[in-house]
Amino acid sequence: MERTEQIEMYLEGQLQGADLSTFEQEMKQDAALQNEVAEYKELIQGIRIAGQHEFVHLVHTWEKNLAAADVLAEKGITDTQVSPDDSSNVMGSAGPKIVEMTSVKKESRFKMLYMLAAAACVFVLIGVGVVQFVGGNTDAQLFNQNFTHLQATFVERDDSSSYLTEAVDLYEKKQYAAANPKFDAFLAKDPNNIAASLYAGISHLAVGETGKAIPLFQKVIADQNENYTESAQWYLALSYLKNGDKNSAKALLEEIRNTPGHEKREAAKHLLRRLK
Amino acid sequence: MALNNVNKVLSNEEILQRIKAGDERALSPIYEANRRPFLKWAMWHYKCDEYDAADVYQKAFSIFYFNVKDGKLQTLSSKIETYLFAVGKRVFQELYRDKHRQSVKLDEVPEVSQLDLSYFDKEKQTQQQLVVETLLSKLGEACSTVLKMFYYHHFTMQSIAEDMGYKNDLVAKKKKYECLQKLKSIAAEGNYSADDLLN
Repeated sequence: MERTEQIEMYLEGQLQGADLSTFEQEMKQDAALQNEVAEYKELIQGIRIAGQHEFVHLVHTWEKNLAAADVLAEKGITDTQVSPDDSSNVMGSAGPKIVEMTSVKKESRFKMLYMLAAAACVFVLIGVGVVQFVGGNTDAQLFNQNFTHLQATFVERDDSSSYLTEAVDLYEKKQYAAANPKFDAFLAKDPNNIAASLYAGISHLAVGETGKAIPLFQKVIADQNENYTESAQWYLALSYLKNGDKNSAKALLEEIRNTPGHEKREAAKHLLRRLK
Repeated sequence: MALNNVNKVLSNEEILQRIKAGDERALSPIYEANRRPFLKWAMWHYKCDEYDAADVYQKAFSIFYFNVKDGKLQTLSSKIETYLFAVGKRVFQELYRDKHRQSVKLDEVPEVSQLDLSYFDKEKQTQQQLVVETLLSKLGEACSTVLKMFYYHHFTMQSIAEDMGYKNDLVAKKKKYECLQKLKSIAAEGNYSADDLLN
């Protein structure tokens, strides 16, 4: 225990004077001690990072709850209906909170005016016979506008997996219908190939086979490999959209939008705006 | 101390003391009270949407907390709101360097000039350090809590003993030692890589 204490004191900068010199001298001559110090340093820093991550997660939860309360407030549901008694509020923030709710109500009134104006525009459009245009902005159209080919960068092709090689070649030429049976044959033998599952999912989705695409994307997401998860989330959301399952698509797009640094965050924001 | 009946506006010093003492109940009201003004300010000055503004606010708030907890922010000459805005400005400058180039004028907050933003610098976090987060969950709750109380919250052995119901600070110290050794041995035995544990 004494040795560990000494190491900790050294790492915390609490060893001083002769004690510090002696310890540093010992380290110079003892590679095992050097390693031990390095190991403790990593462990302690790791514990601190774990604590920081916990706090960041807590803050994220607050933000999610407050953002959700904002949405409910915009819909006209009162603050008391959505938030529990916050008797632990030691900052006296009841003031700002009341001001906040008042301003939301004002914004809601403006929103109502905009909505009435928007409704009037729709009636005008109906009147001039452009219903086709308004009604044409369907989930299918949104899908077509947002579906893009993803280059199969991560798939390792070798001689031992000719099905995969053929599938990826066809996929890259956007010959999805021809690629699909090859992907299926390969995945029947190697179902845990996550990269192949992702591109197979995209290939099936491209020809509208959402029943095959969705479980493939779900499998990729469950695997949590950072190279593929974000793409799989995006294409899964598009699969839901293609199926007309707007609620599932929105839920997943919101998750993407709320994930800082997500590669499809901007696209998700844009698509969510169009879906509303 | 029961906070429910406290019906006064606390001074900066009292707030910082409570945060440093690990009283998280003092934090969420501060988060909520400053959130909407911050989001409006950020969206206006940085022309960002509400989600980016909320991201920056969460980071600014976390940095505020980490700096208080680690004793890097012990006194505050301005209001907490002003401090959070100043931290937010730094976060926009440092973490969103390419995206938001606007020059935004704010009151000078001397404490921010020495601000430690490294908490969100993932490049400085090693694989081994990230693995520890997962290993802690394998240690059991008591051990994990003791280690976080000591190394993350910087609580004294006496207060750890009180919180955990140990007889005295010596028992807490022994427990902490045993837990650290256990963590070390799990890490060594498993020879884990971050990929193994995070995937």
